[in-house]
Amino acid sequence: VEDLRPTTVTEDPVQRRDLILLERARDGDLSAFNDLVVVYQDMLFALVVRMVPDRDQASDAVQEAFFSAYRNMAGFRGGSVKSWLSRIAINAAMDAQRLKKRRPADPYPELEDDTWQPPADASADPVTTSLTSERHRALNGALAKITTDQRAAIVLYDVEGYDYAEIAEMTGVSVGTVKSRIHRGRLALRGLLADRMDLFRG
Amino acid sequence: VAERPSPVEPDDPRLVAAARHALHDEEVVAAYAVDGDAADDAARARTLIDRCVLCQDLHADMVAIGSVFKAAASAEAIAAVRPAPRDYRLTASDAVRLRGGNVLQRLAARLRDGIAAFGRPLGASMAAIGVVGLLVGTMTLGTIGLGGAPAAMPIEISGTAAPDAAPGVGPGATAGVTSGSDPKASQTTDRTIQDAQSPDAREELTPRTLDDAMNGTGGTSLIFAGSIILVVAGAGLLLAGTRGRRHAPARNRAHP
Repeated sequence: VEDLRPTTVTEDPVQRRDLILLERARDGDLSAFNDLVVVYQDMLFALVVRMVPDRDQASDAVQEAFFSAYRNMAGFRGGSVKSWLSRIAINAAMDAQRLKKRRPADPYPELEDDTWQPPADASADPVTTSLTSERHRALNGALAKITTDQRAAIVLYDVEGYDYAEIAEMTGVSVGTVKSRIHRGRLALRGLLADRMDLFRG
Repeated sequence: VAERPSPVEPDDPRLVAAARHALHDEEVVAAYAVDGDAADDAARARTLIDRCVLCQDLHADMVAIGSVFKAAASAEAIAAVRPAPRDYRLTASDAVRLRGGNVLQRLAARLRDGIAAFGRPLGASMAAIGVVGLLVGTMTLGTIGLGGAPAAMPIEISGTAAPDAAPGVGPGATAGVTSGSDPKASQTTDRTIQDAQSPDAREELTPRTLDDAMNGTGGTSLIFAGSIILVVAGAGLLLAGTRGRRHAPARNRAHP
Protein backbone atom coordinates (compact mmCIF):
# COMPACT_ATOMS: atom_id res chain seq x y z
CA VAL A 1 0.00 0.00 0.00
CA GLU A 2 1.41 3.33 -0.98
CA ASP A 3 2.11 5.60 1.95
CA LEU A 4 0.70 8.99 1.13
CA ARG A 5 1.86 10.61 4.30
CA PRO A 6 3.88 13.79 3.91
CA THR A 7 7.59 13.25 4.02
CA THR A 8 8.81 16.81 3.70
CA VAL A 9 9.95 18.45 6.90
CA THR A 10 8.44 21.86 7.34
CA GLU A 11 10.27 24.71 9.03
CA ASP A 12 7.12 26.44 10.24
CA PRO A 13 6.71 25.38 13.89
CA VAL A 14 2.92 25.74 13.74
CA GLN A 15 2.68 23.56 10.69
CA ARG A 16 5.11 21.07 12.17
CA ARG A 17 3.02 20.88 15.33
CA ASP A 18 -0.13 20.40 13.25
CA LEU A 19 1.48 17.64 11.22
CA ILE A 20 2.67 15.86 14.35
CA LEU A 21 -0.80 16.05 15.88
CA LEU A 22 -2.39 14.79 12.69
CA GLU A 23 0.11 11.96 12.48
CA ARG A 24 -0.71 10.93 16.04
CA ALA A 25 -4.42 11.25 15.33
CA ARG A 26 -4.03 8.97 12.34
CA ASP A 27 -2.38 6.45 14.63
CA GLY A 28 -5.55 6.43 16.72
CA ASP A 29 -4.80 9.12 19.29
CA LEU A 30 -8.12 10.93 19.73
CA SER A 31 -6.68 13.50 22.10
CA ALA A 32 -4.20 14.58 19.41
CA PHE A 33 -7.07 15.17 17.00
CA ASN A 34 -8.95 17.04 19.73
CA ASP A 35 -5.89 19.24 20.23
CA LEU A 36 -6.15 20.20 16.56
CA VAL A 37 -9.84 20.90 17.05
CA VAL A 38 -9.09 23.20 19.97
CA VAL A 39 -6.50 25.08 17.91
CA TYR A 40 -8.74 25.68 14.90
CA GLN A 41 -12.35 25.57 16.06
CA ASP A 42 -12.70 29.29 16.74
CA MET A 43 -11.13 30.26 13.43
CA LEU A 44 -13.26 27.83 11.46
CA PHE A 45 -16.43 28.96 13.15
CA ALA A 46 -15.59 32.61 12.39
CA LEU A 47 -15.01 31.60 8.76
CA VAL A 48 -18.14 29.50 8.37
CA VAL A 49 -20.46 31.90 10.16
CA ARG A 50 -19.89 34.38 7.33
CA MET A 51 -21.07 31.91 4.76
CA VAL A 52 -23.98 30.37 6.59
CA PRO A 53 -26.90 32.59 7.53
CA ASP A 54 -27.41 31.59 11.11
CA ARG A 55 -25.06 30.73 13.93
CA ASP A 56 -26.66 27.42 14.85
CA GLN A 57 -26.44 26.23 11.30
CA ALA A 58 -22.87 27.47 11.11
CA SER A 59 -22.04 25.68 14.32
CA ASP A 60 -23.49 22.43 12.98
CA ALA A 61 -21.49 22.87 9.79
CA VAL A 62 -18.27 23.24 11.80
CA GLN A 63 -19.08 20.14 13.82
CA GLU A 64 -19.77 18.26 10.62
CA ALA A 65 -16.48 19.54 9.21
CA PHE A 66 -14.53 18.11 12.14
CA PHE A 67 -16.38 14.80 11.80
CA SER A 68 -15.51 14.77 8.14
CA ALA A 69 -11.88 15.65 8.87
CA TYR A 70 -11.65 12.77 11.35
CA ARG A 71 -13.20 10.36 8.87
CA ASN A 72 -10.88 11.48 6.08
CA MET A 73 -7.60 11.92 7.93
CA ALA A 74 -6.03 9.28 5.73
CA GLY A 75 -6.77 11.45 2.71
CA PHE A 76 -4.57 14.29 3.91
CA ARG A 77 -1.84 14.72 1.32
CA GLY A 78 0.46 17.03 3.23
CA GLY A 79 0.71 20.79 3.13
CA SER A 80 -1.07 23.07 5.53
CA VAL A 81 -3.40 21.40 8.01
CA LYS A 82 -5.12 24.74 8.49
CA SER A 83 -5.92 25.02 4.77
CA TRP A 84 -7.06 21.42 4.71
CA LEU A 85 -9.43 22.01 7.62
CA SER A 86 -10.62 25.31 6.10
CA ARG A 87 -11.40 23.54 2.85
CA ILE A 88 -13.42 20.89 4.67
CA ALA A 89 -15.25 23.54 6.69
CA ILE A 90 -16.09 25.58 3.60
CA ASN A 91 -17.43 22.53 1.85
CA ALA A 92 -19.44 21.62 4.94
CA ALA A 93 -20.84 25.15 5.02
CA MET A 94 -21.81 25.03 1.36
CA ASP A 95 -23.32 21.57 1.75
CA ALA A 96 -25.32 22.75 4.72
CA GLN A 97 -26.62 25.64 2.67
CA ARG A 98 -27.59 23.41 -0.20
CA LEU A 99 -29.23 20.85 2.03
CA LYS A 100 -31.30 23.39 3.85
CA LYS A 101 -32.33 24.85 0.54
CA ARG A 102 -32.78 28.20 2.17
CA ARG A 103 -33.91 30.94 -0.10
CA PRO A 104 -31.02 33.33 -0.79
CA ALA A 105 -33.37 36.21 -0.03
CA ASP A 106 -33.53 35.18 3.62
CA PRO A 107 -31.63 37.73 5.64
CA TYR A 108 -29.19 36.83 8.34
CA PRO A 109 -31.18 36.27 11.52
CA GLU A 110 -28.51 38.08 13.49
CA LEU A 111 -27.91 41.27 11.60
CA GLU A 112 -26.96 42.97 14.82
CA ASP A 113 -24.16 40.52 15.29
CA ASP A 114 -20.98 42.42 14.44
CA THR A 115 -18.81 39.48 13.52
CA TRP A 116 -17.12 41.40 10.76
CA GLN A 117 -14.98 43.65 12.80
CA PRO A 118 -12.96 43.17 15.94
CA PRO A 119 -14.05 45.27 18.91
CA ALA A 120 -12.97 48.90 18.43
CA ASP A 121 -10.28 50.10 20.76
CA ALA A 122 -10.93 52.92 23.16
CA SER A 123 -9.01 55.46 21.07
CA ALA A 124 -11.16 54.93 17.95
CA ASP A 125 -13.27 57.83 16.75
CA PRO A 126 -16.91 57.04 17.59
CA VAL A 127 -18.16 58.48 14.28
CA THR A 128 -15.75 56.35 12.27
CA THR A 129 -16.55 53.31 14.37
CA SER A 130 -20.25 53.84 13.85
CA LEU A 131 -19.84 54.36 10.10
CA THR A 132 -17.69 51.25 9.76
CA SER A 133 -20.21 49.28 11.75
CA GLU A 134 -23.05 50.55 9.55
CA ARG A 135 -21.15 49.64 6.39
CA HIS A 136 -20.47 46.15 7.64
CA ARG A 137 -24.07 45.68 8.66
CA ALA A 138 -25.33 46.78 5.25
CA LEU A 139 -22.80 44.59 3.49
CA ASN A 140 -23.62 41.66 5.74
CA GLY A 141 -27.30 41.97 4.89
CA ALA A 142 -26.60 42.17 1.16
CA LEU A 143 -24.15 39.29 1.33
CA ALA A 144 -26.88 37.06 2.76
CA LYS A 145 -28.93 37.62 -0.36
CA ILE A 146 -26.41 36.61 -2.99
CA THR A 147 -25.82 32.98 -3.91
CA THR A 148 -23.89 30.66 -1.62
CA ASP A 149 -21.14 30.14 -4.18
CA GLN A 150 -20.66 33.85 -4.74
CA ARG A 151 -20.70 34.54 -1.02
CA ALA A 152 -18.08 31.87 -0.32
CA ALA A 153 -15.83 33.14 -3.11
CA ILE A 154 -16.09 36.77 -1.97
CA VAL A 155 -15.47 35.95 1.69
CA LEU A 156 -12.47 33.78 0.88
CA TYR A 157 -10.93 36.22 -1.55
CA ASP A 158 -11.75 39.64 -0.18
CA VAL A 159 -11.83 38.96 3.53
CA GLU A 160 -9.67 35.93 4.15
CA GLY A 161 -7.10 36.83 1.53
CA TYR A 162 -6.88 33.49 -0.27
CA ASP A 163 -5.83 33.69 -3.91
CA TYR A 164 -7.86 32.41 -6.84
CA ALA A 165 -5.98 29.13 -7.09
CA GLU A 166 -6.44 28.34 -3.41
CA ILE A 167 -10.14 29.13 -3.58
CA ALA A 168 -10.48 27.02 -6.70
CA GLU A 169 -8.84 24.12 -4.87
CA MET A 170 -10.97 24.63 -1.78
CA THR A 171 -14.26 24.82 -3.62
CA GLY A 172 -13.41 22.33 -6.32
CA VAL A 173 -14.01 24.60 -9.32
CA SER A 174 -11.78 26.25 -11.91
CA VAL A 175 -9.96 29.53 -11.37
CA GLY A 176 -12.14 31.12 -14.05
CA THR A 177 -15.28 30.12 -12.19
CA VAL A 178 -13.90 31.57 -8.97
CA LYS A 179 -13.14 34.87 -10.70
CA SER A 180 -16.55 34.96 -12.27
CA ARG A 181 -18.24 34.27 -8.92
CA ILE A 182 -16.34 37.09 -7.28
CA HIS A 183 -17.05 39.60 -10.05
CA ARG A 184 -20.71 38.69 -10.37
CA GLY A 185 -21.05 38.58 -6.63
CA ARG A 186 -19.72 42.10 -6.29
CA LEU A 187 -22.05 43.30 -9.04
CA ALA A 188 -24.96 41.65 -7.24
CA LEU A 189 -23.94 43.31 -4.00
CA ARG A 190 -23.83 46.69 -5.70
CA GLY A 191 -27.33 46.10 -7.04
CA LEU A 192 -28.58 45.17 -3.58
CA LEU A 193 -26.89 48.17 -1.99
CA ALA A 194 -27.95 50.62 -4.72
CA ASP A 195 -29.84 52.88 -2.35
CA ARG A 196 -27.10 52.77 0.29
CA MET A 197 -24.02 53.25 -1.85
CA ASP A 198 -23.45 56.71 -0.39
CA LEU A 199 -22.47 54.94 2.78
CA PHE A 200 -19.57 53.35 0.93
CA ARG A 201 -18.53 56.20 -1.32
CA GLY A 202 -17.88 58.58 1.57
CA VAL B 1 -53.69 73.27 -20.64
CA ALA B 2 -49.94 73.23 -20.85
CA GLU B 3 -48.41 69.83 -21.43
CA ARG B 4 -46.43 68.61 -18.44
CA PRO B 5 -42.79 68.13 -19.29
CA SER B 6 -41.58 64.55 -19.09
CA PRO B 7 -39.02 64.01 -16.31
CA VAL B 8 -36.68 62.50 -18.85
CA GLU B 9 -36.54 63.94 -22.31
CA PRO B 10 -35.71 61.52 -25.12
CA ASP B 11 -32.49 63.40 -25.72
CA ASP B 12 -31.63 63.65 -22.04
CA PRO B 13 -27.89 62.94 -21.71
CA ARG B 14 -28.59 60.62 -18.74
CA LEU B 15 -30.90 58.51 -20.84
CA VAL B 16 -28.43 58.43 -23.67
CA ALA B 17 -25.66 57.42 -21.30
CA ALA B 18 -27.85 54.72 -19.71
CA ALA B 19 -28.80 53.36 -23.11
CA ARG B 20 -25.19 53.28 -24.15
CA HIS B 21 -24.11 51.75 -20.83
CA ALA B 22 -26.64 48.94 -21.26
CA LEU B 23 -24.42 47.67 -24.06
CA HIS B 24 -21.31 47.63 -21.85
CA ASP B 25 -20.09 44.49 -20.18
CA GLU B 26 -20.26 45.30 -16.46
CA GLU B 27 -18.36 42.17 -15.51
CA VAL B 28 -15.30 43.45 -17.34
CA VAL B 29 -15.41 46.60 -15.24
CA ALA B 30 -16.01 44.54 -12.08
CA ALA B 31 -13.02 42.34 -12.94
CA TYR B 32 -10.86 45.41 -13.46
CA ALA B 33 -11.98 46.77 -10.09
CA VAL B 34 -10.93 43.52 -8.44
CA ASP B 35 -7.75 42.63 -10.34
CA GLY B 36 -6.62 45.97 -11.77
CA ASP B 37 -4.22 45.65 -14.67
CA ALA B 38 -3.98 41.90 -14.08
CA ALA B 39 -7.61 41.54 -15.15
CA ASP B 40 -8.23 39.55 -18.32
CA ASP B 41 -9.80 42.43 -20.19
CA ALA B 42 -8.05 45.31 -18.48
CA ALA B 43 -7.59 47.42 -21.63
CA ARG B 44 -11.23 47.15 -22.57
CA ALA B 45 -12.29 47.94 -19.02
CA ARG B 46 -10.10 51.05 -19.00
CA THR B 47 -11.65 52.24 -22.24
CA LEU B 48 -15.15 51.74 -20.86
CA ILE B 49 -14.30 53.57 -17.67
CA ASP B 50 -12.75 56.46 -19.63
CA ARG B 51 -15.72 56.86 -21.96
CA CYS B 52 -18.76 55.95 -19.88
CA VAL B 53 -19.81 57.85 -16.77
CA LEU B 54 -21.89 54.92 -15.52
CA CYS B 55 -18.98 52.55 -15.98
CA GLN B 56 -16.89 55.02 -14.01
CA ASP B 57 -19.47 54.98 -11.19
CA LEU B 58 -19.64 51.22 -11.33
CA HIS B 59 -15.87 50.95 -11.02
CA ALA B 60 -15.81 53.36 -8.09
CA ASP B 61 -18.56 51.41 -6.32
CA MET B 62 -16.82 48.10 -6.91
CA VAL B 63 -13.60 49.46 -5.46
CA ALA B 64 -15.48 50.92 -2.46
CA ILE B 65 -17.22 47.62 -1.71
CA GLY B 66 -13.91 45.78 -2.07
CA SER B 67 -12.15 48.12 0.31
CA VAL B 68 -14.83 47.63 2.96
CA PHE B 69 -14.38 43.88 2.63
CA LYS B 70 -10.62 44.22 2.82
CA ALA B 71 -10.97 46.30 5.98
CA ALA B 72 -13.08 43.58 7.59
CA ALA B 73 -11.29 41.46 10.12
CA SER B 74 -10.26 38.01 8.97
CA ALA B 75 -11.67 34.92 10.61
CA GLU B 76 -8.39 34.49 12.47
CA ALA B 77 -8.61 37.98 13.94
CA ILE B 78 -12.24 37.44 14.88
CA ALA B 79 -11.45 34.06 16.41
CA ALA B 80 -8.90 35.69 18.70
CA VAL B 81 -11.61 37.75 20.37
CA ARG B 82 -14.78 35.72 19.77
CA PRO B 83 -14.63 32.03 20.56
CA ALA B 84 -16.95 29.57 18.89
CA PRO B 85 -20.17 28.95 20.79
CA ARG B 86 -19.52 25.23 21.08
CA ASP B 87 -16.68 22.88 21.87
CA TYR B 88 -16.24 20.71 18.80
CA ARG B 89 -13.88 18.14 20.25
CA LEU B 90 -14.87 14.59 19.48
CA THR B 91 -15.98 12.17 22.17
CA ALA B 92 -14.76 8.59 22.26
CA SER B 93 -18.13 7.40 20.94
CA ASP B 94 -17.96 9.98 18.11
CA ALA B 95 -14.57 8.57 17.17
CA VAL B 96 -15.76 4.97 17.24
CA ARG B 97 -18.87 5.87 15.24
CA LEU B 98 -16.81 7.73 12.64
CA ARG B 99 -14.31 4.90 12.40
CA GLY B 100 -17.18 2.42 12.09
CA GLY B 101 -16.30 0.38 15.19
CA ASN B 102 -18.19 -2.74 16.29
CA VAL B 103 -20.93 -2.95 18.95
CA LEU B 104 -18.50 -3.71 21.78
CA GLN B 105 -16.27 -0.81 20.86
CA ARG B 106 -19.31 1.47 20.74
CA LEU B 107 -20.47 0.28 24.16
CA ALA B 108 -17.01 0.80 25.62
CA ALA B 109 -16.89 4.26 24.10
CA ARG B 110 -20.29 5.11 25.53
CA LEU B 111 -19.13 3.93 28.94
CA ARG B 112 -16.03 6.13 28.66
CA ASP B 113 -18.21 9.08 27.70
CA GLY B 114 -20.51 8.35 30.62
CA ILE B 115 -17.59 8.24 33.02
CA ALA B 116 -16.23 11.44 31.53
CA ALA B 117 -19.59 13.13 31.99
CA PHE B 118 -20.70 11.78 35.38
CA GLY B 119 -17.56 10.21 36.87
CA ARG B 120 -16.47 13.24 38.81
CA PRO B 121 -19.71 14.08 40.62
CA LEU B 122 -20.58 10.43 41.17
CA GLY B 123 -17.07 9.57 42.35
CA ALA B 124 -16.94 12.54 44.69
CA SER B 125 -20.33 11.61 46.17
CA MET B 126 -19.34 7.99 46.64
CA ALA B 127 -16.02 8.93 48.24
CA ALA B 128 -17.78 11.39 50.54
CA ILE B 129 -20.31 8.78 51.63
CA GLY B 130 -17.44 6.35 52.17
CA VAL B 131 -15.57 8.81 54.35
CA VAL B 132 -18.74 9.45 56.36
CA GLY B 133 -19.16 5.70 56.73
CA LEU B 134 -15.60 5.36 58.00
CA LEU B 135 -16.19 8.13 60.50
CA VAL B 136 -19.41 6.56 61.71
CA GLY B 137 -17.64 3.21 61.99
CA THR B 138 -14.79 4.74 63.93
CA MET B 139 -17.20 6.52 66.26
CA THR B 140 -19.09 3.31 66.82
CA LEU B 141 -15.90 1.51 67.64
CA GLY B 142 -14.90 4.37 69.91
CA THR B 143 -18.16 4.07 71.77
CA ILE B 144 -17.60 0.37 72.12
CA GLY B 145 -14.06 0.93 73.26
CA LEU B 146 -15.05 3.43 75.97
CA GLY B 147 -18.07 1.56 77.13
CA GLY B 148 -16.41 -1.78 76.82
CA ALA B 149 -13.43 -1.02 79.04
CA PRO B 150 -14.96 -2.19 82.33
CA ALA B 151 -16.75 -5.00 80.60
CA ALA B 152 -13.53 -6.00 79.01
CA MET B 153 -12.35 -7.35 82.31
CA PRO B 154 -13.71 -10.82 81.60
CA ILE B 155 -11.87 -10.74 78.32
CA GLU B 156 -8.57 -10.46 80.07
CA ILE B 157 -9.55 -13.17 82.44
CA SER B 158 -11.04 -15.54 79.95
CA GLY B 159 -8.19 -14.93 77.61
CA THR B 160 -10.43 -13.97 74.72
CA ALA B 161 -9.49 -11.00 72.62
CA ALA B 162 -11.15 -7.81 71.49
CA PRO B 163 -14.56 -9.23 70.43
CA ASP B 164 -15.38 -9.60 74.12
CA ALA B 165 -15.41 -5.85 74.36
CA ALA B 166 -18.78 -5.98 72.68
CA PRO B 167 -20.89 -6.54 75.81
CA GLY B 168 -20.08 -2.94 76.54
CA VAL B 169 -22.44 -1.98 73.78
CA GLY B 170 -25.32 -2.98 76.01
CA PRO B 171 -26.60 -1.14 79.05
CA GLY B 172 -23.55 -2.14 81.00
CA ALA B 173 -21.37 -0.21 78.65
CA THR B 174 -23.32 2.95 79.17
CA ALA B 175 -23.03 2.36 82.85
CA GLY B 176 -19.31 2.04 82.47
CA VAL B 177 -19.07 5.39 80.83
CA THR B 178 -21.27 7.16 83.31
CA SER B 179 -20.06 5.27 86.35
CA GLY B 180 -18.22 8.27 87.68
CA SER B 181 -21.36 10.31 88.09
CA ASP B 182 -23.91 7.58 88.71
CA PRO B 183 -23.35 5.50 91.84
CA LYS B 184 -26.07 3.06 90.78
CA ALA B 185 -24.32 2.43 87.54
CA SER B 186 -21.03 2.08 89.38
CA GLN B 187 -22.54 -0.68 91.46
CA THR B 188 -23.75 -2.39 88.33
CA THR B 189 -20.27 -2.26 86.91
CA ASP B 190 -18.69 -3.61 90.10
CA ARG B 191 -21.20 -6.38 90.09
CA THR B 192 -20.39 -7.15 86.53
CA ILE B 193 -16.71 -7.36 87.35
CA GLN B 194 -17.34 -9.53 90.35
CA ASP B 195 -19.66 -11.76 88.36
CA ALA B 196 -17.11 -11.98 85.65
CA GLN B 197 -14.37 -12.90 88.11
CA SER B 198 -16.42 -15.75 89.48
CA PRO B 199 -15.35 -18.94 87.67
CA ASP B 200 -18.95 -20.13 87.28
CA ALA B 201 -20.08 -16.93 85.79
CA ARG B 202 -17.08 -16.89 83.48
CA GLU B 203 -18.23 -20.10 81.89
CA GLU B 204 -21.74 -18.74 81.40
CA LEU B 205 -20.67 -15.35 80.24
CA THR B 206 -18.01 -16.12 77.73
CA PRO B 207 -20.09 -17.74 74.99
CA ARG B 208 -22.81 -15.10 75.25
CA THR B 209 -20.23 -12.34 75.22
CA LEU B 210 -18.63 -13.73 72.13
CA ASP B 211 -21.95 -13.92 70.29
CA ASP B 212 -22.79 -10.40 71.27
CA ALA B 213 -19.35 -9.29 70.29
CA MET B 214 -19.66 -10.91 66.93
CA ASN B 215 -23.02 -9.26 66.35
CA GLY B 216 -21.81 -5.83 67.47
CA THR B 217 -18.54 -5.72 65.54
CA GLY B 218 -20.11 -7.51 62.59
CA GLY B 219 -22.25 -4.45 61.88
CA THR B 220 -19.30 -2.17 62.35
CA SER B 221 -17.14 -4.31 60.09
CA LEU B 222 -19.83 -4.14 57.45
CA ILE B 223 -19.91 -0.38 57.71
CA PHE B 224 -16.13 -0.29 57.48
CA ALA B 225 -15.94 -2.63 54.52
CA GLY B 226 -18.70 -0.81 52.66
CA SER B 227 -17.15 2.54 53.39
CA ILE B 228 -13.72 1.47 52.21
CA ILE B 229 -15.22 0.08 49.01
CA LEU B 230 -17.11 3.32 48.49
CA VAL B 231 -14.00 5.43 49.11
CA VAL B 232 -11.85 3.35 46.76
CA ALA B 233 -14.51 3.12 44.03
CA GLY B 234 -15.37 6.80 44.40
CA ALA B 235 -11.73 7.83 44.19
CA GLY B 236 -11.25 5.64 41.12
CA LEU B 237 -14.33 7.05 39.45
CA LEU B 238 -13.27 10.56 40.35
CA LEU B 239 -9.85 9.96 38.85
CA ALA B 240 -11.27 8.36 35.71
CA GLY B 241 -13.81 11.13 35.38
CA THR B 242 -11.14 13.80 35.71
CA ARG B 243 -8.95 12.10 33.11
CA GLY B 244 -11.86 11.54 30.76
CA ARG B 245 -13.08 15.08 31.16
CA ARG B 246 -9.69 16.42 30.16
CA HIS B 247 -10.12 14.70 26.82
CA ALA B 248 -13.86 14.95 26.38
CA PRO B 249 -15.56 18.10 25.14
CA ALA B 250 -17.89 20.30 27.07
CA ARG B 251 -20.48 20.79 24.36
CA ASN B 252 -21.45 24.33 25.17
CA ARG B 253 -19.11 27.15 25.82
CA ALA B 254 -19.91 30.45 27.40
CA HIS B 255 -19.83 33.20 24.82
CA PRO B 256 -18.05 36.28 26.11
